[in-house]
Amino acid sequence: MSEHSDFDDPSAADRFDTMPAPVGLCAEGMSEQDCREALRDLYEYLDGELTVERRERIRLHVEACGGCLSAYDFEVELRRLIARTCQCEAPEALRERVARALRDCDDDGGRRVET
Amino acid sequence: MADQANFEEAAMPLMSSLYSAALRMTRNPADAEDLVSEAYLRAYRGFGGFTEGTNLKAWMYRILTNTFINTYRAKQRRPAETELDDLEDLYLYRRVQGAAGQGLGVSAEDNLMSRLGDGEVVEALESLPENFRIAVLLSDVEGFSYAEIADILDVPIGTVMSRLHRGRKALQKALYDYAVDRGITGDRFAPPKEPASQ
Repeated sequence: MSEHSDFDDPSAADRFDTMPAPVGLCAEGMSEQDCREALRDLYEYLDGELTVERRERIRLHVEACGGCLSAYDFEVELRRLIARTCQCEAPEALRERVARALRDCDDDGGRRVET
Repeated sequence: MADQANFEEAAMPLMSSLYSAALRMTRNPADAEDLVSEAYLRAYRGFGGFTEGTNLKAWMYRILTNTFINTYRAKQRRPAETELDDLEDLYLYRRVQGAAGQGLGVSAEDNLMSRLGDGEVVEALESLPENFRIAVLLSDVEGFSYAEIADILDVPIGTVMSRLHRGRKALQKALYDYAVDRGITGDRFAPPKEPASQ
């Protein structure tokens, strides 16, 4: 699933015609093409959706390129912030309500209903 | 085929995760509790259809999402698919980095992250159109793979990727707009070019 030709959605495919511009601080000696590819694949990298070969290629580039590393770090931190913010505990009252509803469901003869 | 007697023990530990998602879907605690409760009942009744050894969390999310779409979306009368602005990649980073690059902030991004409150992040996520919000939630918060999200939402993987791509950019724009509105950025964050506002 990680080859880009697999895209079956036109709006997703479009973005490969417009590769992201490198971010300002990319290290000297880095090819602009490599930076563009690293930034294009950033989310798929963080999502764990690249092939092993592609992942390794990106990793080597990002480790050597300050600009791309900084962009990757930023996205990792932002994702942590979003995940942390959006996780909360279910209220105890909800746990009790669900447990009660499941018991009532048994009493109503709601067992073993196939969907 | 899963034995219903095992449902409670297997599914109850997932409740906080499901409740967190429900809260972001419905955007209010009372509806979130109703949604989770209804999803658990549906899951319990249909547990015979769950294949033991497969991903229970993804299966529960599928039921939660379907329950939300069938019940609450109808209630909220929201359009099924809303268009998002076409935004550039790395929307937020480019703006923060633009400021740092001008020597205006040693660690502008750390500053922004630490000053964006939980309220801003939640509001930004909740401002996304529903299809995009749910995709971003399933990936960024719950860590489901593209294939799992495609299964949960019953859409092709390409659609998942497109929603994630556009949803994340829109989320970053919303965060940036909050940061500007609330003076978090001051005037240290100059957009790299004409912002794609509205």
